[in-house]
Amino acid sequence: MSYDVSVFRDERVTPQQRFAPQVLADALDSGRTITGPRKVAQRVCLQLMTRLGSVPQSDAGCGFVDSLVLGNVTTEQDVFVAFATAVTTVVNKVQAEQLEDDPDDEKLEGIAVRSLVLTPGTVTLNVDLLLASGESSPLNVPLNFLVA
Amino acid sequence: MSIDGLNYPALADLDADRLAAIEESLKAVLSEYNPDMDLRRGVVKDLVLHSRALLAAQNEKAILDALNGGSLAELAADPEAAPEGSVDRVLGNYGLVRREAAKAVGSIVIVLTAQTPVVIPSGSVFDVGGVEFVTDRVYAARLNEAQVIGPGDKLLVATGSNYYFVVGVEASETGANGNVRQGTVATPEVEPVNFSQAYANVDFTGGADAESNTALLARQQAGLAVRAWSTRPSIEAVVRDAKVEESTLNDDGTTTVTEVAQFPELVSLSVVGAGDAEMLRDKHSLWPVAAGGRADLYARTATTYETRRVTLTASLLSKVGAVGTWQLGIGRDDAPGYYEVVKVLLTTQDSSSSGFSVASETRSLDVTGDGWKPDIPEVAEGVYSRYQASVITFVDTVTNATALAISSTKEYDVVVRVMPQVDELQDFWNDVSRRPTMGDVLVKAPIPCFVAVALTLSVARGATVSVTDIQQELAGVINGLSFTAKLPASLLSQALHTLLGTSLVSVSGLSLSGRILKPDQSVTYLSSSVELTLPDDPENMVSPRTVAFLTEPDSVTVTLTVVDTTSR
Repeated sequence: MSYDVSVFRDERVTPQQRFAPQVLADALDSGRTITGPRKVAQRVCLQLMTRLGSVPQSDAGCGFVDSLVLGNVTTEQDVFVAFATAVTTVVNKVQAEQLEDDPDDEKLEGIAVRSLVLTPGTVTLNVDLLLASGESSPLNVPLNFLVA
Repeated sequence: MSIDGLNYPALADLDADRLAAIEESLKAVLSEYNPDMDLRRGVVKDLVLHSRALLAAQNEKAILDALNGGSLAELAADPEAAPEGSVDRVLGNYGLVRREAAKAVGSIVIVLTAQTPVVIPSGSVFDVGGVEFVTDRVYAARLNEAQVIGPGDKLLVATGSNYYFVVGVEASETGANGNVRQGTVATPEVEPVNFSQAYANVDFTGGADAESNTALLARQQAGLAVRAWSTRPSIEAVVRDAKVEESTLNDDGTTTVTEVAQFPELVSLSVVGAGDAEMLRDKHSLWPVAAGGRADLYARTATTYETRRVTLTASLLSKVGAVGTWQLGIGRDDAPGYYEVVKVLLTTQDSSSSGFSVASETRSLDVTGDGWKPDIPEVAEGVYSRYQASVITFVDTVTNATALAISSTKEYDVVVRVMPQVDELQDFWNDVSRRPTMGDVLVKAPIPCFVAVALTLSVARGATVSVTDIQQELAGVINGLSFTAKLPASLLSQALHTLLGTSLVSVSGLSLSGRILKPDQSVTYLSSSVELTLPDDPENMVSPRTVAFLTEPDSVTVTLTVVDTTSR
């Protein structure tokens, strides 16, 4: 079993702090490692939240963030449509990285939306990651942005 | 992006294979320390290793480019791909300095319809052949000589029913395209009162493009050579290194003295000496052998010839009724080493006038005076050198000679084509501190092969194509040739494709014509659609080592046809 480094740390973003710390480890925290379904969830998040074309010499990412920042989102339906458009790309790219000898709980089969809540300044997207092992791993994707 | 002299490529421009190889090597290292870390995908691979590999590949490329930039072999393999700073650093080790771009200067004739004073402010803009020029000071056209006091005061001279005066101009931008020819129409941005027309008074000179890597590397061999009369590269190195002091008057009245190149526009030299078939001066002894001790230096001191207007005094030789035949001498200092007389003008005629053609011309040598001179046994062996002189006759169909006595004198302007600085270069090698101790040196302008080009270009509909730019480009290609045996049409086609890109559909009807004016004044004509090949006629000093292809933009005739390139 192999491990990855956790990029989404558990610090709570304060009202004064617009951005989460962009470090994997620092003087106060040597970082965290993750295994199994959390690795898949992290890769899904990275593909979902990376703007396609933003990483040189890489095809990582999708158009989800671009569709949000263009100011086209005003309702849950808008977010749902943006997510539905991007999810196929995300699943394809995550599956393209999978190998035959990966454990079943690290193989993504699909993504299903459980709920989507839009509140002023925040969209909470809850999805289930369907794994080859048969289990589903919940993923809560909090998106903090201003809605037009 | 350039940092500390290194040029860093954009991350998107990195070689993908090299990037992948670096990433694999980083994975291998990390895997040794952390065998259970997932390095096939995920945060470590995508965020850490990939980013690190990008920076490593970028650094590697910048360092490799810098190393290759220090290799003469690498620079020579692809000169234009090398950073200019790298080329400058490497060739600086050989004493070579890149020639900077320079602005052309010249003078413009302004013709007015009335004899009224006008003022042309400093910085006034003129468009001359598509190039912008500005006046270099305030000019005031004066009605009489008593009013001409300062350098900006110019006398209004009558010419027919009009009046003209001359102003000095400088190109607004650097570049060789500023070297427009005499007679080129000049259009003022603001027309002065009673304006009729304006045109270039002389061939504009001094304009130069910044030297390219290719041209600078071509000089590298000369840069290596010892600065002395020795081998051919050495001789060229001496001439290229020659410096003179130039004084500039500052606005506050002080003078600044700087050292500048004496022959800044030198294109190439060809030395003919002992054992060469083209050397005739050492074959006049009693014995039918070459005695040596002589060298002819054919100097292409500029990309092409200048057209100059020289005022000389003629004497009336004979007359028939009102029409007189006049004779004048062109001394060795009037137009040193000139190629040919284009026409003779009355001093009141402007340069666009057809003037009078030469009826007869006899060349001679003038080796009188003090100072050391090379040995020139025959006239033809000194033609196109600074010791050349001549006597020409012409028929003046304008001046009424009825009342003039034979031998009356009159001033005329003789328009000649001449390679500049032939006299200066001869004086340079005559200097006792420099001339070779075992023989003499005779400097000559290259024997001219005047080239004319005609072609038809099919261009895509909607494309913006400038005939003037094409003419200048092709003239530049021809005039940029060193001493070479052939002028291939493919060279011009290549230049056209580079200049016009996808706008150019095809080149057709390309014809090359050449007129070689030999030292004995006989003419050889060349014509081809494939290439002009110089004849090998060393008994008349004619060979690829002595002849240069010369042309000017007006000798390039371009016909444009528009074609539709979109499919239906």
